[in-house]
Amino acid sequence: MPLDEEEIRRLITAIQAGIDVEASFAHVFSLSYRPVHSFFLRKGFSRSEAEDLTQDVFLRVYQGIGAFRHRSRFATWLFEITAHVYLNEIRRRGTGKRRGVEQSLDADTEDNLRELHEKVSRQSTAPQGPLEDLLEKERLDRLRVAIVEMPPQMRRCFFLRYLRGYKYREIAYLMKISIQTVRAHLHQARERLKLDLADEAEE
Amino acid sequence: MIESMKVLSRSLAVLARETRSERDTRSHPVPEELVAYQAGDLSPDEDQEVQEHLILCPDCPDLLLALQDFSEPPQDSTSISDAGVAAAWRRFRKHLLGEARFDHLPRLLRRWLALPKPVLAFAGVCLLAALVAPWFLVATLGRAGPPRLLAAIELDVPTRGSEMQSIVIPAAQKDPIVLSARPEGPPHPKYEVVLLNTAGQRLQSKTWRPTSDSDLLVVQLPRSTPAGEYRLELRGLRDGKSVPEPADVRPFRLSFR
Repeated sequence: MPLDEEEIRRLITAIQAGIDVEASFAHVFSLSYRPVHSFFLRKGFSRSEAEDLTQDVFLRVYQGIGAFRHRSRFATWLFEITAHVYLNEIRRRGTGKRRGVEQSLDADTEDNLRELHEKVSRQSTAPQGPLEDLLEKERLDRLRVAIVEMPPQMRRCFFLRYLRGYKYREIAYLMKISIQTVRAHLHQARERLKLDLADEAEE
Repeated sequence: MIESMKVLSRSLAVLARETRSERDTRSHPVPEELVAYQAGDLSPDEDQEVQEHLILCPDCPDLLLALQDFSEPPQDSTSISDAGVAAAWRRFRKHLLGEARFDHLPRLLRRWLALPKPVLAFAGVCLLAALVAPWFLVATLGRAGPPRLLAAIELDVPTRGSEMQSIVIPAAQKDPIVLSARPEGPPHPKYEVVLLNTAGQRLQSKTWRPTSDSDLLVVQLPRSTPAGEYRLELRGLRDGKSVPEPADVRPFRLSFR
């Protein structure tokens, strides 16, 4: 369910006017607690750690809500505070927590590379000797050249998909483009690679 | 094929680093910058920098993707129940009230008050002990100090040997009994102080030398002295021997109630 920005705006205005501050803040708290708590759980923190960090976030919200001027959406402001609390915690602990989350992406990446490999490679047997090894190396070099020659946005989409394993809609959000554009970029990227590798096969 | 994929993976990683913008050598964008990027509030150059950073940074893309969840929280396994949110609010409120109650206090004191309750209780006991200890020491060790003057027989009154003084001691009294005397007549450098019973038996004797600061004799009787009639005599000493004429004599009756 989307965060009710209008209701939160009304509550913040009441808090700033000193009207029923505790009840109003309790309502803000209950409306916006879930995304913060879920954020810390997704980042790999335990339930009790996530609760502590979420409490910390709302303490900062409480301290700053009097100066909140509605120039940005409340959700954005809440995200900024949460991100700062998260980064401070990561800094305090070292980077172990972040690495734990990245492993799932690595697994995705392997699948994506398998997909890419199947889409762009010829139906040939695996290299079995020095000559085949050399051919494989040359093929990778061609791949490198092909990627370098891609337009910047296509190249970024290509890396985010095949190196980082992000989904189409995630790439679209990160690059601020539509899913159709992402799909088109990746399709063209694969076609370019197929063409380059086909050229190589003809040579 | 697996080997080939590993090579491809490594090649892509190297390639990503090689082809990333030379401008992307700075540290991570701060959360406000990521928000501005997503809102399209950055300049074209800054926008490109963030995009280049997002390709290889292991953290920032995930952080930016999380921004979506704040506007539209997903309903999944990480979602907390209404009861959980209510419990979290109660905890927050308790914490908040605890903080607000001490807002007017100095920062150092607030930090002390924010300590866990067992630590605070221990500190309180220590403080109380520190306050009570001096009083306790004075009260306890004070008993070893000078005895209280329970009764004083002023032997300088020229009625020696005549009137019997009555000294009544409270039964609960545990301090020694203190008498005082001041010699009269020709001064002697030293005196002999003798406590006798009615049969003339010497119960105690001591030598006393008046000083220029004080010519007041103070005599302590042990608390174990039984009730009865006694006589305190003060005799001058000459060549180590008592002179026949006492400098002071005072009979008294000791009783307990």
